[in-house]
Amino acid sequence: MKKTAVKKESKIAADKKGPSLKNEAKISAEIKKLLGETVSGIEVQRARRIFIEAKAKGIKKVLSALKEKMDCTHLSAISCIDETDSFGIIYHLWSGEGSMISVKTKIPRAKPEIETVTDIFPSANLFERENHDLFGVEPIGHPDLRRLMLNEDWPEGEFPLRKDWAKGEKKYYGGVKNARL
Amino acid sequence: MHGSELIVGPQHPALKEPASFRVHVDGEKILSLDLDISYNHRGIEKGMEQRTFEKNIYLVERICGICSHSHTTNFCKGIEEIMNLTIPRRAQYIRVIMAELERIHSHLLWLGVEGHGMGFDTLFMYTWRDRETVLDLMETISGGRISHAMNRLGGVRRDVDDATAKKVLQELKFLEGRADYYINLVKTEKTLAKRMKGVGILSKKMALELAAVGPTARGSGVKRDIRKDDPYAAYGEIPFKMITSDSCDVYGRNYVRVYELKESLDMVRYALENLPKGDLYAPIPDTVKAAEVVSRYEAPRGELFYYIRTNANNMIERAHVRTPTFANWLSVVEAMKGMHIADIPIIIAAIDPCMSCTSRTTIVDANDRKLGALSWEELEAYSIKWYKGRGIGWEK
Repeated sequence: MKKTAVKKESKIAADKKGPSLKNEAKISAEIKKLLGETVSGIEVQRARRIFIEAKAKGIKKVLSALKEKMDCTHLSAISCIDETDSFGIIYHLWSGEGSMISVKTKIPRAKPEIETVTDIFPSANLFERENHDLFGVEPIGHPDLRRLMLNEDWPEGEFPLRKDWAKGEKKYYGGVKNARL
Repeated sequence: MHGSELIVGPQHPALKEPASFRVHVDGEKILSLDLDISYNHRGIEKGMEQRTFEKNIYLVERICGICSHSHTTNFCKGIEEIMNLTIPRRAQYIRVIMAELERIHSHLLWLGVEGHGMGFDTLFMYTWRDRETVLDLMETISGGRISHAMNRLGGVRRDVDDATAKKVLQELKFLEGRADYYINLVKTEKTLAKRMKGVGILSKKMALELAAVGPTARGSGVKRDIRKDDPYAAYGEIPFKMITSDSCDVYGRNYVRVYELKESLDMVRYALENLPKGDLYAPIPDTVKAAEVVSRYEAPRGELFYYIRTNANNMIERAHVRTPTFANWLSVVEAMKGMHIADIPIIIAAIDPCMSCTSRTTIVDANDRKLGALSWEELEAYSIKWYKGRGIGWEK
């Protein structure tokens, strides 16, 4: 029983080589040419998936260059991750066809601030508000930083998707007051 | 500030979930729209970090009651990519069959909701009756009408045997007839056209700018469909046409959806007739490496986006879920501009909001700051009456 399972897996690994990544290699070469030193670590993960790293300081330049020169007009999402001493922020761009380019950056936990990109990508508006709400990441220059995801009576300064967040004892998180939970 | 403010929402999820819209109006005309969707955060992303992969499949299934299969497929797809698995073709085909049946049921449901919002209750009755057939088929295949639990890591949980396939193929004939009927209805029904043409304009440029997804984007002539652009499961093998419309209004979104009914039915038929033989799932490894993955899926409402990062403890470090409705909100804001109050229900309904709707409306009049309250039903009734007064409507 176990043997067949192993056999299958090795067959799977052989199948997995998959399509050639010529197009992705071309795109990553273009990115390198376009952005040069500002980005580091261009990684082609698989067909249609490219991850690049950039410094938080010049993130706006990188994203607008990708939009103007590489036709990445579609911002699918902005993901945020708590990495203990820093926050990882990932902009997922897409040109409408071809590859998804995910631009990764890091900001220090002590000062969770990053330039807003709403002026380049209007769709970033809600995504940045989401991260502001759930992680406390401040998009500098955002036109409208009201609460989006959490309820209006949620206590200030509590960010539930941070790893160290825990529900405070006897704290009011909205909803019916003094409800028996 | 000139004009008045109209607050639509947020409590009492009558038909859908709660969201609140502040509509700034000048008389009948809508100047701008502001929205508040903070009523329903359930902390599922946080919950995912505390569960095993298998348990997460059942958790993500509960993100949405309509695209439950979309969420599980997209999640499994991502984790399978991290596990470096190749999914058996039979499983891929079964996933597509479920996905397309789900799309048909979702589009029919939406068509009914839209019909009801316009006072066309006959359409509502028809589509929801036909939707029952689809739900029965999904129950025959998976055992569940709404939460199908069809996916497991590495493949699918249940097989589609010959008897089931035969039954589904037979029922498809009925549904194909119905799809033709709805296409004909959208093409010829004058009142429907009057309610939808030129309403909720979203130009192609704005749709691209605001990153609209799914039928909302395709209704504005944007050729984007994850099934074509980033093929997954068996979509690379199954032929289908991408439906787009250049009319850029509610009618265009409607057009795309009714024609997609037909495409989806064809795909289900093709998948059932060409169902490959083989395993239902691939064996999965015990451990998963720390990695990150971007997983995308064309849900009935558009691009469903997952970003998943796993850690060395065989758990999820972070799962970010971006649902299609969330991406389409800004398009609603844009489409509202310059429209009438009576068009609010249909424009909001036209993106097929998965999380929205309302039940209470407050009207703030700018002149005397008087506060009034309207329910969503009353707003709908107002809208139907407004159009009837202009000779557009259906007799009860």
